[in-house]
Amino acid sequence: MKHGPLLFLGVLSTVLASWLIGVVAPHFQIGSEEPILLEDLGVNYPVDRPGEAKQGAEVYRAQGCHYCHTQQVRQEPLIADLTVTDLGTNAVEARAVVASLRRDLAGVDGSRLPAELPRPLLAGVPYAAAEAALRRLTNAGAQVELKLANLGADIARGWGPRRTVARDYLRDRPVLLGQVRYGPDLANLGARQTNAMRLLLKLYNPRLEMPGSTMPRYPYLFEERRLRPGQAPSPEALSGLGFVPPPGVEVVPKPAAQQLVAYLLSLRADTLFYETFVPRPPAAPAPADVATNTPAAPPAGAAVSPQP
Amino acid sequence: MSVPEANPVPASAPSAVPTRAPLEAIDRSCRWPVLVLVLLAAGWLVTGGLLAVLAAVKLHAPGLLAQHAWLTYGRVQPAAWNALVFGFASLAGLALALWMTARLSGAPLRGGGFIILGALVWHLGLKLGLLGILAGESAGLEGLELPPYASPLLLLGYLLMAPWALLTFARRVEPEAYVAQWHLLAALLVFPWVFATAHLAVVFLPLRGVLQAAAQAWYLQNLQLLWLGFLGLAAVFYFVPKLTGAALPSRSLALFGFWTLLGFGSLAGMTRYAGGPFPAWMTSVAAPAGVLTLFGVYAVAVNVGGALRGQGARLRESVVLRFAVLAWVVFLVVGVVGAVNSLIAVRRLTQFTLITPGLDQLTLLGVCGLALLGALYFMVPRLLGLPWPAPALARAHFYLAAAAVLVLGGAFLVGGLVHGAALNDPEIGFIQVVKRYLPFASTGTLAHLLWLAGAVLFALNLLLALVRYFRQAAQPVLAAWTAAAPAAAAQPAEVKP
Amino acid sequence: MTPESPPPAPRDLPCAGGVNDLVPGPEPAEPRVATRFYTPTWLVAVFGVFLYWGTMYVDRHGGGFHPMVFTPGEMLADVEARVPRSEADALLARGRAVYATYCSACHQPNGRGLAGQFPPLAGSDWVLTEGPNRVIRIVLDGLQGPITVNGVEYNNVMLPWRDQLSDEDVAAVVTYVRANKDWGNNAGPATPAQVKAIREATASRGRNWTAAELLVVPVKD
Repeated sequence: MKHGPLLFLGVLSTVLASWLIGVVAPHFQIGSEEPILLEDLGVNYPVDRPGEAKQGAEVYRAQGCHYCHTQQVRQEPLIADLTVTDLGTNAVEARAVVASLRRDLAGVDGSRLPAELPRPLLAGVPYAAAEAALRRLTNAGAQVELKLANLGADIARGWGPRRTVARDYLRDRPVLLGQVRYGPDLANLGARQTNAMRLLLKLYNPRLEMPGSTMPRYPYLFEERRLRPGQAPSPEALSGLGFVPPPGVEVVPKPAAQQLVAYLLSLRADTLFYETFVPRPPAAPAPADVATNTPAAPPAGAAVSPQP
Repeated sequence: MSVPEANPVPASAPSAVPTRAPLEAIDRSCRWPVLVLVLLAAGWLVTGGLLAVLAAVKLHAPGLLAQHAWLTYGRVQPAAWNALVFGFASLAGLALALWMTARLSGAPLRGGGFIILGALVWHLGLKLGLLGILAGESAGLEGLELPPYASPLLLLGYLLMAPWALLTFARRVEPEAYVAQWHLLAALLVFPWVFATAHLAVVFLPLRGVLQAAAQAWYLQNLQLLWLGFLGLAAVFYFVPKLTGAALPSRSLALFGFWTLLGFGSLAGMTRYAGGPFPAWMTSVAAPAGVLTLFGVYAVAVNVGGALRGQGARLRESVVLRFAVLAWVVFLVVGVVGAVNSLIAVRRLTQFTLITPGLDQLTLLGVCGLALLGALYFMVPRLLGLPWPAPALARAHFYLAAAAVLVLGGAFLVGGLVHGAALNDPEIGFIQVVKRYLPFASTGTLAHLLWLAGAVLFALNLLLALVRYFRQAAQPVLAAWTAAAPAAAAQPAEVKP
Repeated sequence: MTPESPPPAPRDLPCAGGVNDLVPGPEPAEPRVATRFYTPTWLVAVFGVFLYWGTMYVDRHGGGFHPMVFTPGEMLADVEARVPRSEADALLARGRAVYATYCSACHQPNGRGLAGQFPPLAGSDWVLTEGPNRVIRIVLDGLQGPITVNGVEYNNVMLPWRDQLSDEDVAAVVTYVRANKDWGNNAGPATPAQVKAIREATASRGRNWTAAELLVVPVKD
């Protein structure tokens, strides 16, 4: 174009607009979020990590763990199915509610409801609509069952009971969300894995726990110490999972390894508060048994009983 | 200078304007600043290629060299990316921008000393940054790993180099700028602002919580499209019509495509974090923006395609044209796949899979890398006044680079779908997911080896060309010495029986 | 001997245009762009359609731009619906209905009662006690005789509602009366379990309470 300044202005205003929309507007919305007080737990969420875990976050960043691991749990939009199991004693009122929810089931006498119990009423509707229908039907005396659809693969894998939200990362600096899953998600690792020694062994040699794993080894986070003949290994020396140190030597984690493990054990994003409630959090699924390579059990059925 | 005379007056210049400098005068004014940039870029190309091979190997051979902290995957991978983006692509892109702006403006490039100084400052900053990353001092977020002592040096170096292009453009002969010039200007204007703002918002004065990631997503999108992508497009828009002799069909369409790509592409960053811990509206604004960039891609397709019609013979002869056309094809593929991949429903399958690094690498190596390499193959002989010493190596480089890009693209895009399908099936344990994506990810090693081989050939060619240049430049001096010596030695030789 | 050596001969075959790109020398003209063809109208039209689709997309997935909606495709109502309601909220709604049906005739919809006849519930010291035990008893078995409410004496008969209201209804209306913010009341709720316990404890009573009898009953357990 003929006008250099016009091009200049056009380019800058376009990129400025994307900056305003992409970063500044969200900043106005969530930039001043503070940790919230959860009364029933008596803590400010998110909880500040203890000192060793904070240093562990630096070790996590320095080793570049986030190039293979993510720390975000996704969730599908919540949809539900509604089934009528009993019309109750006030069948007329119940049928009227049914008719208002499903015009095609309204007959002259409401008799177009399927004869057999249970009678599916709504399928694949947003949770709010299903819950409103449930309340109306129970107020009319009917018995209803509300079943949640799949919450998504991440939650089904046992990577968390709920999705991660902005508030979970308030205290993280830098925020290492990760972009590729060469390895499993770590957002709730502290809930799945409580054994520090197991994590240390995994860092030393991931193949000990999972033979086909492609996770790198981190032997430089550990040091070998000579053992005098007859001296027993110190308590923090690596042991377990079939690990055999070289003869006369014990393998001891360096402080960096201890800090990293403390950080990993502190990774949790399962507290429920306003924006993260799921109607009935799935019963904590049996975590994937890494030794036998069993996948995590899917969460227990999330049927909700009618509420008054 | 041994360049033959009689450079044709460009057809676009109205004959009434006499002030357009001849091409070889422009090339001569660019010589040393641009060659320094090209040399540094070639060095980083080889270094980055080597690091990339190492990173690719470590994906499937994790025990290799594991005892060295500075070689762990989590450090080598960002080192490779930074070396290729800020070392090769940015420096070669700056070289292209300076040279092409001077040519298109018809005015010689000034400020050579500052440009060389800026290049060295940038180079120093990048070296420090890379050593820092390998030492574990990376600042963390992907794309923003340069430690705080390195990134200001890059910005300083850039500010020493880039304004000369703008000043040259301001002194242009024709008021109307060519399509490639728009892209160069946009890239040159956007880079410092995006670079500085993102580093400020994430590294120096971090925003709170996930907003750092939002700033990073914005930065990565603008860096990939408006810096790397636009530099590559500038080379394509310059070389394809020039070398085929056909004009681009439509200026109006080019304008439409330019503003569409710029406007909507800039907004599409948040698709990188679809499903992530961000308010839903952020992704749902970025997704249609990503789809709308299809119109810019279409404009590029039609315009460049129009200039290529019936040029099969020319394509077979010209290495430079081949590089540019393959870069154009990769741009179209990345554009379409990227647009489809913006949709939230598609991201349900492809999020966190090989498709993300696949598209990133295709943009870096396929669009930007191939186009810049073609441009360099054209530029260097005209800067030095010498042909390439080994044109066969140049042809081989093209096939190696093309193979690398095709293997990488095919493996990662297809592998991404396999990866995503496995991730979305909770019945499949994670180790099985790894076994499914690993064959595709391992192909990256082959691809990067091919790329590195091509890079080595390029560096070799460049070195040979420089040796030849200096030898030629030294010949007058040598000749003067040898002229004196035989005169002194002649008498004793004649005395001998 | 020349100061400059001659240019090396091009090693590659020249192309059809007579120019080899890898060799400096005569090169094709600088690139041009034709200005004859304009952006096709149909393209602009399709672009417009896509723009419209884009706005619909944001509408559908954007959650109303609310920062508390994180999953695309949900709305704030969906997030709200998942927040578990405390028992008190459910009872309040039900109590409002019960009050309107049974109590507002005498105690008035605004809870102020009628001067000289029916005592107020809004701000009443009998209602806003620490626990609901006395109020539950009044609702179950009625009240007669003089009673001083907020310093004013009333003397009337309140009917028992033991047989008309279930445990849930009594708990609901007592909760509503004690916690009605419109009336300025902000006391704690009553639960159906509490009502059931008191109902059983006073099952054999069969007659109205008097103020003197009630004042002996502790307000809360």
